[in-house]
Amino acid sequence: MYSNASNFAKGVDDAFLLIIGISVFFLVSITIAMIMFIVKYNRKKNPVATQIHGSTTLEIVWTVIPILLVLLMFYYGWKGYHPMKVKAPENSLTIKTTARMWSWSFQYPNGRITDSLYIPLGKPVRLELNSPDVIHSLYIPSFRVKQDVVPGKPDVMWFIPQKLGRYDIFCTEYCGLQHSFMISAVNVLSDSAYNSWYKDTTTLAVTAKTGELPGAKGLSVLKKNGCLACHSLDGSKLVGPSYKGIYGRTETVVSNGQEKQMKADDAYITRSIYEPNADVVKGYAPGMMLSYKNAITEEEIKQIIEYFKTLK
Amino acid sequence: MSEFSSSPHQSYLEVRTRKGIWNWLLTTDHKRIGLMYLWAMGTFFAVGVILGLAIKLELIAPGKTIMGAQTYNSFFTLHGIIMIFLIVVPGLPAVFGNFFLPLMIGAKDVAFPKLNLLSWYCYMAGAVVAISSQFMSGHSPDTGWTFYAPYSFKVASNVLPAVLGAFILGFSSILTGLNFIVTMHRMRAPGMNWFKMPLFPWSLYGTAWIQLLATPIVGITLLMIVAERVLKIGFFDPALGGDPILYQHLFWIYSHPAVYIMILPAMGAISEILPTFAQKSIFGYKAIVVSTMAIAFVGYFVWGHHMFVAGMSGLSLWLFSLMTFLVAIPSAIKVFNWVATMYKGSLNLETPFFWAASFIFVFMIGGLSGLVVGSLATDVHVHDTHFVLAHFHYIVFGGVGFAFIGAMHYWFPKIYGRMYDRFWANVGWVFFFVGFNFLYGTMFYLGIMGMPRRYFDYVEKFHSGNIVSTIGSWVMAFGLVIIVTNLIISRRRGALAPANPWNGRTLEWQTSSPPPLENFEVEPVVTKGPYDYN
Amino acid sequence: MEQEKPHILSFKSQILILVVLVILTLMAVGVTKLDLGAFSLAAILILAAAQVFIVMAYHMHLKFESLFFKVMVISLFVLFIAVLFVTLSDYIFR
Repeated sequence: MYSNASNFAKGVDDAFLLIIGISVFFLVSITIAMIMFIVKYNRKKNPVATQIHGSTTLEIVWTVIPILLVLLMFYYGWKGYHPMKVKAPENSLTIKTTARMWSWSFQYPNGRITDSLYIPLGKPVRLELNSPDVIHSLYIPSFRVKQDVVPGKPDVMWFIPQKLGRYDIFCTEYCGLQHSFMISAVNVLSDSAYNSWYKDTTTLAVTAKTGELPGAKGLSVLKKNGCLACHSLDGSKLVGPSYKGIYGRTETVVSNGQEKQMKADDAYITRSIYEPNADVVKGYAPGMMLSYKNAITEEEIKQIIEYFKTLK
Repeated sequence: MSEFSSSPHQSYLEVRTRKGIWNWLLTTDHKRIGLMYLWAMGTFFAVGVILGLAIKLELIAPGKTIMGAQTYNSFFTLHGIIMIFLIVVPGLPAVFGNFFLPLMIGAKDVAFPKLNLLSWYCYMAGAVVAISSQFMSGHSPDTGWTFYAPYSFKVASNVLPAVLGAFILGFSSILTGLNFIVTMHRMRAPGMNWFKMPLFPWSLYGTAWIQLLATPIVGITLLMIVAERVLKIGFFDPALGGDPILYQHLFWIYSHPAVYIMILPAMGAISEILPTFAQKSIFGYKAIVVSTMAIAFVGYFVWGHHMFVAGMSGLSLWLFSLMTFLVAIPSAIKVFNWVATMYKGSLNLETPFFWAASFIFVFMIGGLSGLVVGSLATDVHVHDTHFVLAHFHYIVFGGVGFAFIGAMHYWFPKIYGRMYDRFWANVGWVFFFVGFNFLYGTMFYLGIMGMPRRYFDYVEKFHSGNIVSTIGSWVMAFGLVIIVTNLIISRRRGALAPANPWNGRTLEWQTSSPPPLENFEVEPVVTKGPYDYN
Repeated sequence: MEQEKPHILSFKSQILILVVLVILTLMAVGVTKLDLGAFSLAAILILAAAQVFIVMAYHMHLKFESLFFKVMVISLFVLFIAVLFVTLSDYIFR
């Protein structure tokens, strides 16, 4: 189980081996003792029990030895954990990490935003964790790291990747309907591969070029805010209604328990982003979406609407 | 026999003072109240088991198998609420504590019989509030049984009634605990001093104090939620300037001691079964008593180990991890003493003994895996994964469940005056034990591999482990069906049981099976220790 | 088990306790009028603690109970303070 994929993996795995080793020893020896007693002292073989009331010596022995063992285990647990909590090195690559229902986004120093993490081998990485909605938890099993992302309480975590490859990122704090789909990945690249990836502005260039096209900016706003986790572009039904053909469509909505017809115009779309639970399209559960008032500006909503107009 | 009659020789099951069902619903007899808890819990348990089986069936393959994510999330929420708040927390004290505490200390009833009946109604009311709260908001219940802020505040408005339900249930616990404490202080038979009291009452004594001292925290939490909802004072919701971690503190200040409310009576029941089936005095009586009280006390200061990765301060992490390791010591002492009790005994290999021995086995696995989650470094890796699921199912289902079913087989002849079919009881145990270890044992592996808990869907590398686990759940459920069917049939049709079928020494075996209304025809006088086989 | 004799407070001492409680309440109100800064909160808490003590000693009858109950109540407060301290250890050293 030694993966050694990050600088913390060894400390954690050492503690694991120590604790599991001691545990298995006690489990096996006590179980064998029980089975031996059952074989040797059952009623057929031993019809009369010998009355023993206890032994102070034994009580002391089996109090003191476990105390020493647990103190040892506590120490190794602390030793493996402590380095994670010290300050990240000065030369760390700092990446702004946002966890939201139900996607991750990673923003690099040059402004590039991705939904999975790209990092160079052997360089300390410092993640600044933020959540706009509920508690999430960033978990990279191969790196043996995990940190809750608590809204209103920015936190950091850091590690040094030590092996090339692609590793799973899971969300481990229950965060609602799509919790188990909030999966991403870390891609550990060699220094040169990372540098060319980092400098690769073709995707930015494409955005710049298609920026001329109507709605391209709107699409990037949608991607940036993780909207597409719940709203499809192809008409399929996810958590919320699809964006396909949404602009100008007439929907049956439920407002304050009353059903009514509403046309999806500029005002309706703005309202749906800022007060998502005011008018919920019939057939969809209320309470699934939170207000994006602090995340999306009115200017950006205009861009989104431009984009919607292209989705016929 | 006239319609309403009672004589001192009649068993408590035959006494009729009212019409029909009112003999039960208005009874103040501790034995009948114990059975009313048993039936209520049995019903809730059946629902909880079916939800659990459905969850495991869904997880047999990645993606959607039998239900959607929304249904799955509601199922594990309801499974947790029912199993924790309605069954394992009140379980052993309410059923066996009520039935056997007065019998074991030679009393006629508990100190406040009417209060005891009120506790049962509190329990039922709390159960109704807790379950119905999950359907009130128009949004299906999907917060998990921990109702963590701010998710629970944002998507559902049912946190307030859910915590209210927990509080009413807690009230029932408080009343029962108070009743037990007074009963043990005031109503022990002549000659029974504290250190002649059997170990099951001792464990109830420790439990009762935790119930009294921990449950008010739920009340405080409730008040704070009301203040936040109504007065908009920010305690937990970051949108109002609150701190979600404070909610976790308050939740676990109650809910972690609640784990000890669950496990202490289970340990007490095992400490009764072992000496009887070894025909031998228990090894280290005083050590077990002291470790019971030590668990009750130290268990108070370990709640923070649920929050190691939540962003607590360094000092707290250090403190909570150390305390968590220390609470393992008294549990270890108990295990050593139980095993030593078997040494040179005359082991009567009956069903209750098998349950007690397998309890020690699964409890060791649960307890030792607790060291992994109590250690800071390893907890970072396994926190909120299937490892934690395996760990606490080994403790609360392996520990409390095995002790409960073992106690049921131990005391069944006393409760109903009938014997169960021993062959089928043993067959049921084999299936249950094997299925249990496949079901939860594989979860350790899944957790170390990194599979998070509360996952509706998972990546392909977790598939094989989940198949084994799901098949284990069927084997275990099959064993459970055999066990329950055997007991239900034997309740009426089993062979008549003698007063003391296992040659036990504690006082409940010195009266007839089933006992008369006032327990003993002649008040017992105690001169010897509880497990004296000389 | 030892037998306790019932104890009923005389009318006169009941009135005295009431008067003391009312005076303490008035003092708590009065303290808020003075400008003591952070100390005004401390002053109010001290006055409230005095009231709690009187209510527990007389109205809740603790003054006349056996040592066992006094010890239990005191240890309850010790436990409560310990829990509070452990919780605050997270907030102060975070």
